[in-house]
Amino acid sequence: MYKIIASGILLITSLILTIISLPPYEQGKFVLMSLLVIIAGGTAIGYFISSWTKGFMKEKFKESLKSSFGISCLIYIAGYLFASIQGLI
Amino acid sequence: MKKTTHKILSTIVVIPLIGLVFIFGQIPLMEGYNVFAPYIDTEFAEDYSPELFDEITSDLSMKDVISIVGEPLFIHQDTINGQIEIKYIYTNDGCFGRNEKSNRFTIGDFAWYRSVITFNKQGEITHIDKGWCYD
Repeated sequence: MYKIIASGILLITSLILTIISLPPYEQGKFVLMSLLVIIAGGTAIGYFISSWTKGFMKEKFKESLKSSFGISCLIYIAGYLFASIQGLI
Repeated sequence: MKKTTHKILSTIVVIPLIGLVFIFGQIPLMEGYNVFAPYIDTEFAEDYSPELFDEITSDLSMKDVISIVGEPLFIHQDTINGQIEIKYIYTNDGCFGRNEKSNRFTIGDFAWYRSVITFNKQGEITHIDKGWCYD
């Protein structure tokens, strides 16, 4: 359960950061695109985890999806932080 | 054998997608608002600060404005419909882009804060314009 909650918190964080940075007229379109990319990334990460761990793949895939979307959001946030903080260094 | 195929296929798929997600995280900041350094791409007039600019009200004179926020970066004079307009521009875009270091970074242009006061011929404030510009 905590994996789903953590993934949810990370998803909300990444969407808030996106909304804060964008001009109001571009928020809707870009939030939707970001969501699609995060979902695609999460699915690919889930597939990757399930294929590299022992056990039935379908079961492992379902189980790994709980955390893979969180990992995808974390990578998205890392990209955001990389771009925003590198200007300060 | 099937498991090995999945391992190879998932590795081939996951690497570019991770890269795509990472790059996508950076896109909102292209000409976007930088939460950690909002004024990173805004050039200020010498004595200007956004807090001081907020103190400007439409009943102030040109002299009062200068005493509060100092001299502007640019003064732009124009005639619109026969009316003389004098614009005091206190901020400008591209502060970060002019920094030599910016060439090394993936994002070289962020949002900037616009601060413009428009006076009429008599030196009275007709418009105060402030806000974020995403260009």
